[in-house]
Amino acid sequence: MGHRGDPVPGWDWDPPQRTWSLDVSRSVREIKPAEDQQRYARVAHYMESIGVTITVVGFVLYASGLLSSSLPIQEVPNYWAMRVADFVRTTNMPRGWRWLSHLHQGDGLSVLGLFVLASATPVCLLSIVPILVSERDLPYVIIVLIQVAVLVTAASGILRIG
Amino acid sequence: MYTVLADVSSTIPSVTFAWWIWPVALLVFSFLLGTIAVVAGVGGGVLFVPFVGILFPFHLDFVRGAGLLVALTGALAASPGLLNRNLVNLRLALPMALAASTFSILGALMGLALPTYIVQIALGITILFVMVVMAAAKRSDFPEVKNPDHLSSTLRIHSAYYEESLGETIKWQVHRTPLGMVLFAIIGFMGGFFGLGAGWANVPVFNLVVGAPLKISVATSIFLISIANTTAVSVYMNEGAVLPLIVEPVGKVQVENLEEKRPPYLTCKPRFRIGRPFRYP
Repeated sequence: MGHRGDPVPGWDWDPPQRTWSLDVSRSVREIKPAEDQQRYARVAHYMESIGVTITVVGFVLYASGLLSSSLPIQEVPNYWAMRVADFVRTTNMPRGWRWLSHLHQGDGLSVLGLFVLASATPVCLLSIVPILVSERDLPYVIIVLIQVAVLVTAASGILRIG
Repeated sequence: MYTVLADVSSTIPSVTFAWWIWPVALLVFSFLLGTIAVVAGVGGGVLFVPFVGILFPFHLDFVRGAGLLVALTGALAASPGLLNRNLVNLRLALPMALAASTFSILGALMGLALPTYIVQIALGITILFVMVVMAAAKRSDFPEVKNPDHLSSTLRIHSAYYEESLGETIKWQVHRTPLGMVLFAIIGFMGGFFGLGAGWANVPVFNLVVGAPLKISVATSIFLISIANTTAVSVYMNEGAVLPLIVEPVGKVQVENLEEKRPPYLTCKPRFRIGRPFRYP
């Protein structure tokens, strides 16, 4: 990462000195981001677009009643003032990954879109690992893999309340 | 005293409305909130959670889940443009995001486990603290960092960006990286606990503690939210605290293009992707 593309004119980075002065005598209209940043941006854009599209479509189908739902939409206001634990217990709505069995329903499809949005970050991080490996940037390979592990652990449902 | 501190939602008089009334009201309110957030220079989450928690009949658990998703979606939408303009620096963001995201899991779990009145009191105190921080915190467009610390030198956390207002390239480096990671762990915990995006805290830490230029701080803060909020959102989704009927009517606030002409460096507009979903910024 950093500027491994075109170097900034007049800028010589010298790590052992640990000090350098700002050289603002030259200007560069465009500083190209590093390859991994470009890939992260591209993947993030497409994941976000896909996630929002699925979310919107799912919500339209859910709100219009074209698809059935786990909990009829007209009954949701009766329960949305409850604590989530009470809500799940009373309505028997799916927790964890059980929503996958409700993809044929409007609310399940809506959650699918939200899941895509929530999974965008680990997908983006994994997409830059090959670039980091090719650059032999071991510290950031480790950081990225640990980050992905944290994200997957959070999503797995291993850590639960009660 | 417990009666006084009881769940706010239980004090709302029970009036029968059609099921769509409150979601539509939430949609309108969220657009207004997004507009105010731009002027105020804060993210939507810090306004969304307390106001919606007070004014709407939804339980705070669902409001926090929605707040996290709103912040996450906005950050995901803004990140590609900011990354491509080199205003976000991955080397700066990733170590901080790791600390923030790890502790946001703990915050989310604790926030969902504690009694609601405790969360409400803590949220009120936190919002007051946010006001103090925003009023008192100084800003430094280009902090002076004479010597980078050992960790930032090892990780090569430095870069450059083109400052349009000056017409020049600004090179930057950072210091106090370990302290920054500790602070981001605390911020991540609070973000998961309250369902906030925590941009109000990220920017001062990046700018005043770590020493990144203000634009880099704002942009990297937005990007960091996309990582830190993902873990908290996952916890809320696993617990069932994400209701599509509450989350999806919220207008998605897109933050893009740091433009110095528009204080405070952000352009914000409500945006729906219907029509042109795949245009790459």
